[in-house]
Amino acid sequence: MLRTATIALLLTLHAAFPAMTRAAAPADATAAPWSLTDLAGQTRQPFNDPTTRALALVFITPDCPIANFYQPTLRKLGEEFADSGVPLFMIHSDPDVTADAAQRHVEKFEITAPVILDHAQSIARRVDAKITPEAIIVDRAGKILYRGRIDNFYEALGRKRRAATEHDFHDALAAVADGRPVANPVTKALGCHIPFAEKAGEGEAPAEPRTP
Amino acid sequence: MHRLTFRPLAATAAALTLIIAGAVPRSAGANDEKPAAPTFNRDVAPIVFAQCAPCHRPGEAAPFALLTYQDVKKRADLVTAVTASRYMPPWHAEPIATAFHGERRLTDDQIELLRAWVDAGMPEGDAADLPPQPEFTPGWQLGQPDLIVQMSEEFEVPADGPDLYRNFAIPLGLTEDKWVRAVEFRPSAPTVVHHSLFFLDPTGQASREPGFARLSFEGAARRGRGQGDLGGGSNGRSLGGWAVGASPLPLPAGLAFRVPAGADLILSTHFHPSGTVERERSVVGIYFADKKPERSFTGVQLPPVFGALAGVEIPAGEKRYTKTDSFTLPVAVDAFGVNSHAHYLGKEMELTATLPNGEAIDLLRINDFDFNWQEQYQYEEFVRLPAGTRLEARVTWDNSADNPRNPSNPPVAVKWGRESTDEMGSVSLRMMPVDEADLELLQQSYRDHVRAAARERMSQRPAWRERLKRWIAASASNDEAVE
Ligand code: HEC
Repeated sequence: MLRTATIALLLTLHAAFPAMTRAAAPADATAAPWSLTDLAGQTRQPFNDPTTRALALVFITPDCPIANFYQPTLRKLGEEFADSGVPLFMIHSDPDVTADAAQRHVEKFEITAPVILDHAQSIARRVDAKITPEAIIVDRAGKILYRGRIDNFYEALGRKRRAATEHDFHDALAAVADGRPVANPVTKALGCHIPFAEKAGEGEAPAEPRTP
Repeated sequence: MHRLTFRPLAATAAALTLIIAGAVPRSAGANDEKPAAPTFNRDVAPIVFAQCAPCHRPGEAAPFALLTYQDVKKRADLVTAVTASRYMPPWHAEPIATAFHGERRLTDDQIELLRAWVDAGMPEGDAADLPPQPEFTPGWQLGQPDLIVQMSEEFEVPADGPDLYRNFAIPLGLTEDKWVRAVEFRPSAPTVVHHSLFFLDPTGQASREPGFARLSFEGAARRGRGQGDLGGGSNGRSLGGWAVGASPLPLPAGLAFRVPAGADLILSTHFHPSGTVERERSVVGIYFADKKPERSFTGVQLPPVFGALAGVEIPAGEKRYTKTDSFTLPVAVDAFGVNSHAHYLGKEMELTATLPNGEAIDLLRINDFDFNWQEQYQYEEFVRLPAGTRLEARVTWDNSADNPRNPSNPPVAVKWGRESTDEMGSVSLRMMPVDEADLELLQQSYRDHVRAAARERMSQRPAWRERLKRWIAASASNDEAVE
């Protein structure tokens, strides 16, 4: 309740000072063609390939234990869906992650997917990513086909199952690769938060963990 | 710039929130009417330095450092979320009248303050308010150990998959009996070592057993049958343990564990894979007492033998399966430590004492037991329990599908046993008789309690006779610690 009052007050403030909401333009995944430059400096425009159905983006941070825990799973998913028209990318949207740090992280966790540095955080904003690890599948038209967790191995922070029982990201990739609708298109990502440089959009989105 | 206008207004909003919530930070200046918004330097840093930095600093187990304004500001949303949910700092015992040593628990006011700081726009505050950086002793926390041993070889922790438990036997090479007052544990791969429980194998067999580490969940239960049940199981003798963030703690009042010549140290270690292969070779420092201690201690475990005699048979899907046990102390004691044990289905742990005058004291209360955080709790001060005090323990298991830790999906019926999919459950209290001469009476009385439980169990299950005899023999051969 107090929290709501504070948010309401902040909202009022934002209304009074519209300049503050400058960076809070709504995420629009349709705007520009996708162009992703990986750590090796290679720029890809995956939709130039007519067989590309959608992009699978996984947001990560090098020091997030849950994001790191999933790297072996993500490597397997990358192999399984290598030629399925849904290329997988790892995205660092933390501006403090240097190319060197990202490269060391690639080596330590044996990451095989292309790794993209999103220092401007434009990719994260474009698809409205907030968590690491958060998996997002976005199609050619900018439609979000899947958003959420990789699987349900973590039930809550610090609370793991013995094994995952729902493999949501895998199932979403499989559906998109087959041209089927994703049965469970929104799940809750669990892990760390992407540290946005400016608290853009604070007025609109409550800072509470989002239910996507 | 707009931010200049924004900050003070938001700060006022936060200050209002604070007043209403009653978590008013110390006022900034003498003639300051309104309570100021919390700042990092004055209000947040003391909490973070004391409660987070011991683990969140380079070289420790936690993922990132929380030592500076920038460190905390960057993760402020996550910090408020994990403190509000009480996931951090990790601590599972509910607060009771007696403080625990090293208790890691934020007060409601501290949690609210962190949130108010974030709401106020995370002001850094006056540099003069910043307390000095916390200092941590590098290396051995208790000074140079008398004996340093390490795992005979590295253990490779896989990158992926569920948590693992392994036992490692380390020969101590003692040629005479020794008294151990403290054990300090140092993992070599701190990101994957979650906790380790220390046990003694007085016979020294464990280290001669090839593949000992891979034997069942808690020690060499299966193959060790008839060989004295090695390892971390019900009959191994405890030497305490270590969990992430724990600082080593000697036994109080000059007490010590007796370690016979030729004994092995057994580490029963819990690993959690981190996404990359890691190699662990733990190093253990052992601190001896110069001489046999003047005072002795013993343990009372309820229900005894980790619940083996209690007839634990948990139906599939049962959400609250409970076992209780009670024991009346024949003599006055000073209790100093408590711990509890169960496997994945363990949910609630409770130990209370009812004094002869009717006063009830909580000795341990865990509402959300987590196998991953089996702490060895030590009270900051002795808790005096007069003769005639009744100890009551309650263990609750959740074998429903709602329990995410349930290793079986769908749930299956579970019985007492040492494998990870079996269950155990008990609470143990460590105590020193107020009068040393009472030790024998106390131990005898507890042995009688175990025997009575065993007799009752045997009358229900005649086939258990042999197994029970062994257990009783083991749990009654307690010189110093019944664990
Ligand atoms: C006893 C050691 C310890 C203390 C004290 C501690 N932490 Fe942690 N913390 C950890 C460990 C270990 C992890 C990593 C958990 C994992 O690997 O799953 C962690 C993880 C975290 C995370 C990341 C959660 C995620 O998304 O995975 C945050 C945020 C955090 N701690 C904040 C704090 C704060 C704030 C405090 C102080 C109020 C604190 N911690 C105190 C050990 C500690």
